Amino acid sequence: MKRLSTPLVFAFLLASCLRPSATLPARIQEDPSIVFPPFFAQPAVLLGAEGTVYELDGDTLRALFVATEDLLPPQDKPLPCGSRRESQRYRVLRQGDLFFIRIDEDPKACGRTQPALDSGASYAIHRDGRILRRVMDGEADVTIPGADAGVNSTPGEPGASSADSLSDGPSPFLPPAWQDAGSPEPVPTR
Amino acid sequence: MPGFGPFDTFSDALIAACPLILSKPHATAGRPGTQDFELRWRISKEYCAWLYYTPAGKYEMSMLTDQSAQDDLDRRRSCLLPATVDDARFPPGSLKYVFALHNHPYAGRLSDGDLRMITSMGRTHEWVVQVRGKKVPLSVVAFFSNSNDLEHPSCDGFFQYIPVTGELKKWTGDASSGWRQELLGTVTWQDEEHYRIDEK
Repeated sequence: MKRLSTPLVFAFLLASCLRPSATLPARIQEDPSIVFPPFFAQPAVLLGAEGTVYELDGDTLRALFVATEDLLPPQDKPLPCGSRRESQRYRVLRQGDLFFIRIDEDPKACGRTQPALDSGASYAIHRDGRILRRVMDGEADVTIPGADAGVNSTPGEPGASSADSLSDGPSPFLPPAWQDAGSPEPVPTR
Repeated sequence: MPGFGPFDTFSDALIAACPLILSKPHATAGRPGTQDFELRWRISKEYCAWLYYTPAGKYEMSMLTDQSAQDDLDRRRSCLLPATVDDARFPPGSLKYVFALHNHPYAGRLSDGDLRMITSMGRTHEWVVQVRGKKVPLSVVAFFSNSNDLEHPSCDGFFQYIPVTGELKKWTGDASSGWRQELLGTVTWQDEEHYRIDEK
């Protein structure tokens, strides 16, 4: 099982740096021993600030290219907003010869406030361009330990929270700003 | 949704919603490893709906949608759940949103996208609603089937994330054997983009 050390994370919009519609099929050699990192556990370096020069190496660009070509439909025809390259957000974490890539639909790019359910995907791309792992949102990740073990299960009322988990105070699992007693955010119009 | 409920308890409503959603066309992709799993995944669909509490004191389910913001050739299978339910029997703003329901065509855990979606909804609605003097927290649920029978898949359980308690759960069972829960971990959010999952 491959382990990650200190990661370097980039997040950026990949708007127009890739040519449309590649014709090469993705090379896939599934390696189930590869474990995806927690893509959202730490802040990412955001690329795209105006007036700043960024440099991207070719291996990273190719890895992004391979992942987007595999995930998204050909871009040379009219597409729903959520399937366009420029409507995604990309996180890249390099570990040796592996690029871990997380692609999520960006609801703001499509004029929405809320993301769709299961609108992301994770890829592990080798430096040579091979796809070593890919997991769509909602697809079972066979590498998660104990995913189907069920050994620690207890009886309960379906859908209920744990009896002692609903306290009267603010939740320690959510930012305080989300739990202010003021009015909720306005419901977006559709 | 016509023909569904209404129900006195959210548990009854959830147990009724599970087979209903999984029985929709292509709601399950069967088991991976089968010869045509890739094709099954390609044609699979996600359906989603709100389970909400009405001023009449009942739990109801909104109309199911399979709308997605993606093209059919996109490899992802997602579902775009409207932020609100339009139920003409009740005044706007009187409904209490409790469960965001959907199916996972292949029994995957709740995804990063699912977690982000429900916390976004929590900032629009309420994290916890009061129902008959009891607290019911907002959560997202993904039903799954372990069956390879695509026409009549069994409801084998659901994954659930409750933002206000941080709980990630897996529920399995049925009416005859009873339902059991397993705590898979907890989720702690730092801000809109970042969160930590502590596996159990």
